[in-house]
Amino acid sequence: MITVVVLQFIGICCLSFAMDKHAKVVLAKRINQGFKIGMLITGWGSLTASIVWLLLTRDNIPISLVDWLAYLSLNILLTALLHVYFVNRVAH
Amino acid sequence: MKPDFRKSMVWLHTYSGMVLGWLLFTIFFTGTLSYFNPEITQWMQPELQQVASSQNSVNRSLAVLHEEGVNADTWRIYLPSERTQKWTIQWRHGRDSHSLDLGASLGSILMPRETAGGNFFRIFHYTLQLRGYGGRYIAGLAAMFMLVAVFSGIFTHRRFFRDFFTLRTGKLLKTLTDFHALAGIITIPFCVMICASGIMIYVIMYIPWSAEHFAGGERQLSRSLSPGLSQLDSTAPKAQPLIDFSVIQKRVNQQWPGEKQIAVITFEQPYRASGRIIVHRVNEHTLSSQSERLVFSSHSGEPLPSYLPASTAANVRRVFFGLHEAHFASTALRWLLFLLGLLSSVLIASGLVIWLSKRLEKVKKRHIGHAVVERLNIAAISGLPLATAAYFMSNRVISLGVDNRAFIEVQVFLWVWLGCLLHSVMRPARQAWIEQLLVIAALCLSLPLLDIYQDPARFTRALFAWNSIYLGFYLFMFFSAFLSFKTARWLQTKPKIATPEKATPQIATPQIARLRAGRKA
Repeated sequence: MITVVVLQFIGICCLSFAMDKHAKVVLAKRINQGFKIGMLITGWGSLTASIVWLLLTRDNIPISLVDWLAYLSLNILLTALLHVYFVNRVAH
Repeated sequence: MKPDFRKSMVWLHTYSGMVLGWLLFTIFFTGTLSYFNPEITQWMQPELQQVASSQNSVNRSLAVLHEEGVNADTWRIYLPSERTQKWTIQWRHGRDSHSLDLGASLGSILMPRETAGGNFFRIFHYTLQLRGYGGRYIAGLAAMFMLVAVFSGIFTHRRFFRDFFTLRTGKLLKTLTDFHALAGIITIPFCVMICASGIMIYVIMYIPWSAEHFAGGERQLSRSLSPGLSQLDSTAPKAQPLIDFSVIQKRVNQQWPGEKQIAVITFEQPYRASGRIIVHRVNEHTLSSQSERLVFSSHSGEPLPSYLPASTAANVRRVFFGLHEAHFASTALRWLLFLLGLLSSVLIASGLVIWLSKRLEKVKKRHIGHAVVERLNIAAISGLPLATAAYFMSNRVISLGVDNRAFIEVQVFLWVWLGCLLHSVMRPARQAWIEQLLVIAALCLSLPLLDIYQDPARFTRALFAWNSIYLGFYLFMFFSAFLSFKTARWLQTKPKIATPEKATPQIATPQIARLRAGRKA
């Protein structure tokens, strides 16, 4: 499950970096189109990989999918908190 | 004029959340606590022992039942698990029911204190203590309102994706609004799942006409959708029930590999030749609320024809039921669901506070509606946790010999909650928030200390046995005390926002007066 959670976290972080507003805060510069597309592909790819890995490695698929959704929510919260941390760091 | 879709959604979101917001907060908060229903019950019955690892527990149960439950119509054995640590046997003659809690050592019988336990929160969150008076209908209506609020909430965001991870800190109202939006995004799947499954559990009750039309009533419809076993012949010749369960255990092990796969064993008509044993599997392998079952003869242990497969409709309902109760969840997933439940409660609470703050910013003079919302916010958001802490405290304070202890615990919860409402009406709003939060902190802090003071052996036993449930309860209480205290301190130090009534205050606090004097100088 750790692999799935890590892949999800990478995916969500990359998707957040693909957004102008969030990338600007964390990276302290405007992002170009290439970077944006790269982050989008990595983000969605990582999320897809996490679910594929889950389906391949776990026996009980229905319960695993509930796990996946619950961890996804946690990772979104963690990413948002990470952004708050960066916003405060930039502000100070 | 063409109606503005977003504005309509904003209106719908505001008032669908507002009208039943306090009720939704109550349902979500108590529902979240019931994710740890057996754990809370375990803490509230400290007389229970660590019995989950007891050996040969089925045969030991059978030995007691052979002595105590002679000629009973039904025997039932609830085997202990790490979560419950409760090993109970029951026997019934007609409507006359008896039960015993067994201990770890051979032949020991435990007498745990009478308590409503964690089950109180479970029952309260869908009946609102109004079973038979429309409580379940009200809860169902609240779930429907919540679904409307969730979906309309998605459309109220102008920049849903652009602000996906935004959480601005600084101004309270901005932080609250951002947090409300973020918590809303995070909990969308959870809220949809919980509300939809909550409605599905009692769907037959909410749409009684279809049951009446198709099957002639709710019970008949349930029976036709999920057929039970055949009726037993109560005039069949007498026969002695099994003494040794190992015959069945071998067959069970073949069907359900792994250790501790049995949760409940029911003997129907154990003293008849036609009697049967129904073995229920633990329900951690399926999303369904109905775990797997095997049926055997109660005197020979031979397998008997099992349950007929339930209809698709019944199976769908059971999956929704299972998703709602999350019996399948591992410890990590349970904590995650608990966190999501808390986030959903905070989502509702922040929505209520935002509603009031935004209106108070705009109006010059408050009206009665603002005062009502403000007081109900306090009574619900800080009053409910306070009543919960008082409920836990009553479990340790009420004398063990008192009759109807469980009933008194529930009364304590309800009266303390009412007291919180009265307190919020009588005190200035900010003072009411601070005082209630400080009382929560005091109660949560003193609860573990009182428990240790009452019986230090409980704590040392839990520590040496590494009873994570008992110790986890202590830690959670300390954390709640810390959180409540910090919030109260923050409210105390936060400069007062000029409320409409006090837009031109006649009496300024010394600090504000000093600040003003400084500015003038």
